[in-house]
Amino acid sequence: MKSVTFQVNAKSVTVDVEPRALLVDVLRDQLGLTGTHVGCDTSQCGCCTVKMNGSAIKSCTTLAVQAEGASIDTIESLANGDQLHPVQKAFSECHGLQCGFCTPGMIMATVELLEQSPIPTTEEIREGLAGNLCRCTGYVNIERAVRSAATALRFEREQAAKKQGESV
Amino acid sequence: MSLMRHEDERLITGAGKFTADWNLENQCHMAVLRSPHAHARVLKIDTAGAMQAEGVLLVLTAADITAARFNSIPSGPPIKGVDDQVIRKGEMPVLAIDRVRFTGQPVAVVIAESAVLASDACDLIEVDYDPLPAVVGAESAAMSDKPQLHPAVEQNKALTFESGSREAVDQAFNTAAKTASITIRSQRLYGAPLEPKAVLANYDEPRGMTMVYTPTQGVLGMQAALSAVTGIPTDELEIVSQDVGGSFGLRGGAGPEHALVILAARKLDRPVKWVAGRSELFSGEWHGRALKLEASIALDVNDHIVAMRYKDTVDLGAYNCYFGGFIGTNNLSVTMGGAYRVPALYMRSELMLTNTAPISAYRGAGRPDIAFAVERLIDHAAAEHKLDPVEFRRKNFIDKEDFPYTTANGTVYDCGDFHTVLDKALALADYESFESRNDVSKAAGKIRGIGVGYYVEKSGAGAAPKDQVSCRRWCVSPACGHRSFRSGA
Ligand code: FES
Ligand code: FES
Repeated sequence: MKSVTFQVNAKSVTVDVEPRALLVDVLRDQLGLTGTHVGCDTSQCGCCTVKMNGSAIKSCTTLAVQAEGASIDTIESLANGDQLHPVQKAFSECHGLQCGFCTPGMIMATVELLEQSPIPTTEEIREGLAGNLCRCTGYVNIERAVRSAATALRFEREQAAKKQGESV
Repeated sequence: MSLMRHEDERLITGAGKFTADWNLENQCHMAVLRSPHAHARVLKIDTAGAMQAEGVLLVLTAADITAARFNSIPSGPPIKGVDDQVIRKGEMPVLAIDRVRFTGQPVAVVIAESAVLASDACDLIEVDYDPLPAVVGAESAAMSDKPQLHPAVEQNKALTFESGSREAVDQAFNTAAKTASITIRSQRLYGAPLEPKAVLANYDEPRGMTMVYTPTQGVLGMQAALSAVTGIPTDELEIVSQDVGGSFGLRGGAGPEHALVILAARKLDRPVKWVAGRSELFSGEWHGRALKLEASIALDVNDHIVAMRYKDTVDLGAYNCYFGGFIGTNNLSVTMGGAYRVPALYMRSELMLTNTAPISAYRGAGRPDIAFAVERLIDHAAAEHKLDPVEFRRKNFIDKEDFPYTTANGTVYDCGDFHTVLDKALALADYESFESRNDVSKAAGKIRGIGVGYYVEKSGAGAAPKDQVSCRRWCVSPACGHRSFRSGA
């Protein structure tokens, strides 16, 4: 067993883990964060996507010991109380989910994608979500959700800039 | 803003509850050892090494299943075929007894304090196999050089099924002006819902209930199947399926793992959990389709359809599972005339057992396959005889006035307006302007295509729809505050 300390959703945690333990298992089984899912054992489905130090990673392909000192954000951290994140809202509004099993991973990957490319082209959306599989939707509504979230986030940014302008 | 689905909020915030998300106090974990052979005799299973491994609580083999008096996995109703012959079956045992018949078949399980320890210990089970030649491919399964899989299934032929009138169809083909034939292969696949198969079982002693947490698309079917395997009465089995990560037909009934988790929970008096790895499911889960449909059509001089004929080769896999028998029989034949007036219809299916994963329902279980075959046949005949595919369809559609319409093999279509639906579809696709759009595409060095297909399906099992909602044992004392809500459709 090895002791690992890292931040999860802005809280510091210390856990004893086996050296071979995967980050996803520690998040789910030891920290109770079951919003991050496991859909495969070959690093293909992306259900386990979380953010580590700001980048989207597959937590099934990361050892828990690699998270030492890192800051991890999971799906559970995205909403601000009752206030859904624009990406979460867009997935629901555009019916970008059916069974919802892929959804936490899709949403986390989308959050990163829109940080990298705030106004993504279709190619950028497809490329950005290439590591996430959805068995239900056929992806059309997922693409729509990403575009709609991009618009919502841009609007939020503009409003914030306006407000700042007014207060100056 | 569109309406939010009721379930979305929990699913987009990570608060959904899929089977793997349930954890019960003091639970332990199961891992499954599966056959690496398509066909082999099992000479000996040595579990001593696994039993001594760290964290191991229990190892189960076929002997334990027999001792527990568990039955085999439900193999479906006694479907009848030619000459009233009842389907011959190879029933799937919960764990392989003295023979494995497909790669991925469960041979033994280990229950340990953690999932990784259970999986580690599986590697320590020694199985002595004597590999046998395997039957792969339904078409050659009956050949004399092929081994017979099950004592009760001679030549690996489970059933020869027929529907419609062979004589009427033969006669129509003999006097037809034009004919056309095509072979459709509906390839074997694994349905792969994104949530891997999982089961958590617990015996709730105060209530006398066996609790089974598992993804299912039919709570009542799951309950009935598990009762049939384990002997536990249905009213002592409670199925909990809160969020389900896709079904696609695979989640209709119980698999061996459900029964194994229940038995282990009972033996250890602890909750037992099993969450499959994706890789083991590719070979160990039910497969779908695996059909070959040889279709022929006969036309008169006016291009009216006079007959359709199908010869199907249906792979059941290594064992008959509950839904497997329906695919090659009722589900293929019931709408074999599609949306068309066909005076003579005949289908003959051979249902074969092979050393491959058992075939169960997948997305319509034969119905999309026959719809595809009908439409390909129509298009193929149109192409072969230089007919316009739309006009050819229109000419042969069952007209609105003809409903209710009884097909030549006895299916009643209650209503339909195929012409109007096709009109709308063609308008939406801007079918009329296709040629000019195609010219533009060609000039730009691109390839454009268009196709027409009509889909008629008998939905569900067709007979009596059944929903059941019941609230039982509702009591609010702190000791047993429990609510149970079941629903199946
Ligand atoms: S669980 Fe499938 S990629 Fe991580
Ligand atoms: S919504 Fe079911 S897998 Fe994506």
